[in-house]
Amino acid sequence: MEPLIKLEGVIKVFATEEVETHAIESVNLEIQNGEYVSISGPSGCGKSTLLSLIGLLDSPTGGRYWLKGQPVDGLGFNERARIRNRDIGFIFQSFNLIGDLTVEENVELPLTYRGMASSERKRRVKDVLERVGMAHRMKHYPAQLSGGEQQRVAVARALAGEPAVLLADEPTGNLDSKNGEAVMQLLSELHRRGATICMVTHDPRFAAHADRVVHLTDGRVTGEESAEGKIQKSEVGSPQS
Amino acid sequence: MRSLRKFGALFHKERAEQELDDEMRFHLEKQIEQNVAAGMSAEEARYAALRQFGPVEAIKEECRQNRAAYFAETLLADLRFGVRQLRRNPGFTAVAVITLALGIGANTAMFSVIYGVLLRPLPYPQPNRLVRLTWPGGNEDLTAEQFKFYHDHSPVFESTGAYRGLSTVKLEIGKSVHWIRTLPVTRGFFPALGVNPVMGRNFTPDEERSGGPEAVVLTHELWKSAFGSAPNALGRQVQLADQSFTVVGVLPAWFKFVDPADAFVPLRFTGSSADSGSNTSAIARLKPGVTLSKAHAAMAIVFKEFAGIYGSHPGEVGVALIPYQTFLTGGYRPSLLMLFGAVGFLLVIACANVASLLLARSASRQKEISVRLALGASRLRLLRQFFMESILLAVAGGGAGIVAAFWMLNGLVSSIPWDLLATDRIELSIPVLVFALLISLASSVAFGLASFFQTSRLDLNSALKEGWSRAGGGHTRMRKAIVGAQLALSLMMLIGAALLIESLHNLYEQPTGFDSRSLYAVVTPLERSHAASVTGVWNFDQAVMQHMRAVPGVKSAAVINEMPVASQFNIPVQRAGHLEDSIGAMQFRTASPDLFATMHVPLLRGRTFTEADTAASQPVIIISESLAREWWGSQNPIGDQVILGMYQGQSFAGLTEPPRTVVGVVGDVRAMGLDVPMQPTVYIPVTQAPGNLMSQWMRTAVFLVRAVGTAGVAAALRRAVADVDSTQRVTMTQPMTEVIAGTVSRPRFNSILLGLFASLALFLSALGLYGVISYWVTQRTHEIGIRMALGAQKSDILRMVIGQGIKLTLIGVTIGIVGAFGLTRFLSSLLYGVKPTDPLTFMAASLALLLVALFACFIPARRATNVDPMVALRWE
Amino acid sequence: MERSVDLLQGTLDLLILKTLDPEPMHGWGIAQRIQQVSKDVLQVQQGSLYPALYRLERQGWISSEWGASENNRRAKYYRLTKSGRKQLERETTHWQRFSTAVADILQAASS
Ligand SMILES: Nc1ncnc2c1ncn2[C@@H]1O[C@H](COP(=O)(O)OP(=O)(O)OP(=O)(O)O)[C@@H](O)[C@H]1O
Ligand SMILES: [Mg+2]
Repeated sequence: MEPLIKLEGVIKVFATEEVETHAIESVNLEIQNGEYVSISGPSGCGKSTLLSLIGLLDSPTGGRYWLKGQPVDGLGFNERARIRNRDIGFIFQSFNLIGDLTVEENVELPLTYRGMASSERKRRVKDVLERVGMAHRMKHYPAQLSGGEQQRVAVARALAGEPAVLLADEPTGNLDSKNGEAVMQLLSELHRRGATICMVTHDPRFAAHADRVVHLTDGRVTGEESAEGKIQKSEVGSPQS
Repeated sequence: MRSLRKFGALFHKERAEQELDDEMRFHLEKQIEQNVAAGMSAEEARYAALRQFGPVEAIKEECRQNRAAYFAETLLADLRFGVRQLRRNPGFTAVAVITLALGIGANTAMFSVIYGVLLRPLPYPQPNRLVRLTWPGGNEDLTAEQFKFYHDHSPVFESTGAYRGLSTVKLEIGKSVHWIRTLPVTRGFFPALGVNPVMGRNFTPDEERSGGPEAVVLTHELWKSAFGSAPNALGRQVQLADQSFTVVGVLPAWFKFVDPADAFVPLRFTGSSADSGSNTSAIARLKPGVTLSKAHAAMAIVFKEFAGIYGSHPGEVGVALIPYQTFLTGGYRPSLLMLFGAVGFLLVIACANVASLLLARSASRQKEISVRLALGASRLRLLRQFFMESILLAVAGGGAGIVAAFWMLNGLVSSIPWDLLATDRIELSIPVLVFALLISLASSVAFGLASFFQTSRLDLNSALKEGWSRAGGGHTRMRKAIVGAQLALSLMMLIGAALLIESLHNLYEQPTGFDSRSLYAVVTPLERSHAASVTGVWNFDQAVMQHMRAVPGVKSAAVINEMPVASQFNIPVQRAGHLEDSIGAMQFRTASPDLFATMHVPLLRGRTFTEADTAASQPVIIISESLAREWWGSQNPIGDQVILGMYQGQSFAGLTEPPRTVVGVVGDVRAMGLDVPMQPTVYIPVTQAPGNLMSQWMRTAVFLVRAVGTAGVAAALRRAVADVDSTQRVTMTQPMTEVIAGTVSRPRFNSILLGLFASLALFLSALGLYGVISYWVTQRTHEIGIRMALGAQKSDILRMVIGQGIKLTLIGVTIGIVGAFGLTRFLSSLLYGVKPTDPLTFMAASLALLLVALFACFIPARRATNVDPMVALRWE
Repeated sequence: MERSVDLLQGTLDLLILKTLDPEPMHGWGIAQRIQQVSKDVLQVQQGSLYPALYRLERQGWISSEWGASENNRRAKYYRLTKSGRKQLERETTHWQRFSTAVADILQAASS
């Protein structure tokens, strides 16, 4: 079966005036439909960068990227925006809800960029908010919610567009362990129902929820393990540099 | 002594500080001594003393605050801080100062004009006792009869004077020749204005008598320029318009009259046709203590007496007394007040911009302010600090504004289209400067308060905890309200300007009745040698026209006695045998045969004049279309007769003629002013002009020339006149289109100025809108990043930002339209052919505002679409 | 030992003016004098004495100058001004009316 996401030799270099930061160096990665992948590694190794490349928030400096079998590198801003809107659901560490909008409006936001009828939007919003257990807080503003509640709303927002893949960057980073556990339960639940998830996390306990853990060091994939056991990747076994 | 000490403390703050220290130390030492005396060890004594004394620094601070110079010291500190703040943000300061300078400058310049012409007392002694006598309900002047009667019988006037129009004449002093303007005045004229000659005397009754000795009173200016301020000028014989006059007086240097005369000659009532018409302007000085209403009551009785003796004309119901200043300014008061209102709006908009800038800045200073409050700065002190900055801005803006006003005033005064008593009365006088100072301070209070209220509402705790990310909401709301108000004011000004411009356009669109393109007008006030007889005039006219026709490019040339559209001359005219067909002020013109052909005025019936219409042939007349319609209806007027100088069967000495036969009907031609409806007009051949009218009134020949190719034509036409008589003056050579433009100089002045102010207002408001939207975008960079991550297209972001601006603009437009509905009716006296609430104009102005607003929002909106979602999301 | 009484601001002003009536004095001296004359009942805190002196000086009721103290040290001497003397008279009558009024009430209440 064709992978949902396929990266081949992807490179990301940040060039500032003084230094060039090689954040991602030649990463090959495949994510299958319905898979739950976790990316882990030390701080600054390029996890967030990799995730934003997958999420088409940023474009790679080199390499190739296929999403649902279609090449998506070299697309323009608006094309990428359309793909983000339809196929990608983001969950951020700091929730990133919009303070001026109610819970309902926040969740509705990605749908408004599709020209979907208002009644259909409302129905879907209600639906996803029920799924994350936040339907009773529709009219609240983010500031009136706890961190855990805010993150559940953020998950609902990511789900609302029925994306092909959920991308979560340390979704529990700003939560206490109880709330963090609850969000992880939610993601596992979604995964059981068929969602494809790619999550960055530091926490080995949470990484264990995933089918597969990808280890990243200095912008390179240095190892992978599946829930069943360790799998050595042949080509990255010995760093050449 | 005390105040000296205060200053001492202020400038020797260190010494005051030193003394405070010394005093505290002295006290402590005394305490230690006492403690030692009580048996403590030196060390113990010291600690005990410190304990007993209490918190030294706090006590010192309290002493400082109680010190006499404390207020002044901190004021100075605040001042220094304010200057530092402004210097640290040169961009902000420059924009604020320039904006203020614009507003304050325009207001100061405009106020100079208002003050100079409307408020400042007239430059005559006790000017509030001066009145102008006219017919009631209009500005029409008196007849000689009326004037003489009022002069002789009024119990309320201290003195009464009359004058007639200016004429330009040749003054010859020995060999030297000057062209000067003389004004005929009666003896009462000078005492009424409260002026006495500084040298010599006023006219004598003998000099006012018909046939009496000829005398002239000089202005100081003419005495200086033409007589070299010679003391022996008095009694000199000079030639005025080829007649011998004796210089009898010189007026003081301060004396100015609204008609710019260089010299005054006696006005003589000889029973001429000029005397019988309403041609005598009268002014009077009320007796001390006589109020206007008392004078009115008294004059009503005098008028009854007059009517009892002389009878009264229909419609003549009394005499009006108008305070002289009101009379002088009546014509342009509405324009000035309108323009003053407009610059007032402009200043409010400018202040709003500065307030908005200050708000934006106080948002970024919120942390600093919270820290200051937390450190115990009193709100009063903070208030003062804010105001210090505002006042500094206002003072800088005011100073720059006065400089700007100085420049603007030059241009403004030279373009003022009204007859002013004296333009040198419009200047940056003390009251004007006081006004500038006051509006500067008022502005500083306005925008200082705005930013202070914002800060004083600050919740200290949350501001410190959360930083400023959430506290910005209030600022933005306030700035939005300010921008909405700015846009509303701008729209009101735009609508006003649009209405005026439309009026001007309507005026230009008025048919003149002839083709003004490639038509030139050459004005020659006839020399006495030519004007001596009708034959003399006609010979001159013919010679000039002949030379003009020889100029390359000239198609045809004609002559008329008055400039079309721009001047008029009227006499009573009646249809022979029809008393009711009478017009008291019929437009009257003398014409050469090819006048109508040259002007392209259509001949509707009969014939035009020909060379065969001479003084000896049958007296003929051509009438205008509107007169034919009014008097003959559908009948043919050709062959019927009209009588010049007759009104409802009444004849006028020296004016009434035998009947003339109507030989033609021509199209209507605009007589005087594009805004005046077409007036019935009669034309007679120059050759048949009544001799007495010719010598008294029709001393000017206006040559109209149709020519193709413009370069050099004007100069060639002037030469054509000089070729006939090199001493003959030509006062004007202009394309007719320019002459017509000149007749709408007032509405043009109004629309240009209001248009200018409205554009400035629009610009400032757009700037304000731009600032608010830019700030809004900056504040929401993060949100925009999130939206992009969720899949917002560039157009979505663009729409969101522009939507913000348009929402604001629409609120402004709504308020502006409502406001304009209320305000434009004050413009109605300045409008022509357009209603003050013309919906099309309202719509067009609103649309223009929306477009500009759209543009102002587009720039920050573009910036918003260029936000990098990665960076925006990382930045938290 | 009896506790000393804290002074109200207005009262302190009156006491300072009264103390300075006979002769100029420095801050320390004023505090000492008030304590002595009141037989230790009234204790002036430095924390209120000096601010009060500065305030009175600003109001023009007292003036200050530097002079030599008893053992030839420099000290700041305060002196009652003319308007200060008037103020003293005003405050004295005011105080007397006030204290008799209070005394009357206390008497009425106790009887
Ligand atoms: N816009 C940028 N410009 C320059 N360098 C960048 C930029 N974004 C990321 N980097 C650099 O790229 C490297 C990878 O950053 P990234 O944020 O992906 O790390 P991370 O693995 O997510 O770390 P953490 O676990 O701390 O979140 C870092 O060295 C970072 O400094
Ligand atoms: Mg990261």
